[in-house]
Amino acid sequence: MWWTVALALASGPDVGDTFPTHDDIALEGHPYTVIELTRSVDW
Amino acid sequence: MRDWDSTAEELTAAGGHLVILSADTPEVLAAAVAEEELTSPITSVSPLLWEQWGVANTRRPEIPVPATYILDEHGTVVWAKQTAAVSGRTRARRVVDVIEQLSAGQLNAPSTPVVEHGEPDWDAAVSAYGVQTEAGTAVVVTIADGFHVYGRRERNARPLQIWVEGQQVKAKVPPGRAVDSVGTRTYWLEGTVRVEWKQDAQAGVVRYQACNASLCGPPSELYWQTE
Repeated sequence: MWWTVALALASGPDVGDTFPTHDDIALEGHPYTVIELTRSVDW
Repeated sequence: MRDWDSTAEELTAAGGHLVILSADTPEVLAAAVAEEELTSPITSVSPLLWEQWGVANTRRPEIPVPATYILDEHGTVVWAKQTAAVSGRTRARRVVDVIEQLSAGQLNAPSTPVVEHGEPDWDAAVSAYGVQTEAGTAVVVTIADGFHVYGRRERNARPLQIWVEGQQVKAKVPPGRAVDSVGTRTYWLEGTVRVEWKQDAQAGVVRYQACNASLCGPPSELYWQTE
């Protein structure tokens, strides 16, 4: 259900942290990279 | 997803580069991209990644919490937003605004942390008391400003219910005001709601789910008694 909630937010990377590397995240040549985490594309 | 598609040109112009990481399998992603004619770059990743990164939903670790991160060219997080509910996801337009502010030096990163998350005070969202009426009982439910609960027409969240001695009473819960949110029609109750039924009762429980504009609390119960 879309309203399912997690009461405790995940810890996750915070401002100032180095974001974990991943093959699909290429930073080169981009001033800013936006990472969107989604459970599904159905929105 | 269309939100990102419709903002793609503005994001690129602002200097942003989008990577969407999804819990959907590659097959589901491919079908959705084809069917919806999506153009934003979407990648399927292993559910194990969410836990490794500390972004797994605490109740369903196979999916991430809805989250948006902006990284600089060194991979440092310069802006982050996690939300407890999909309905609170960062709008693409907001991300473009943030990048424009970062580029203009209006947001100093990362020395000035910009983290938009937090949990509303759900306990303060709803209060209730009972009233004896000529016909029976009424419960007056007060919903704090900025919050809403759901009316009897609601099919996704928990609608407002009155329970007495372990049984739901046949009370006239208002249908709610129709609101379209994240592609779903919901029915909101706001302000003060009076729910009446034709039986005497001294106390009971209100069952409800409270949300604000971006987040939803869990289905909840609230004790009430007549004044």
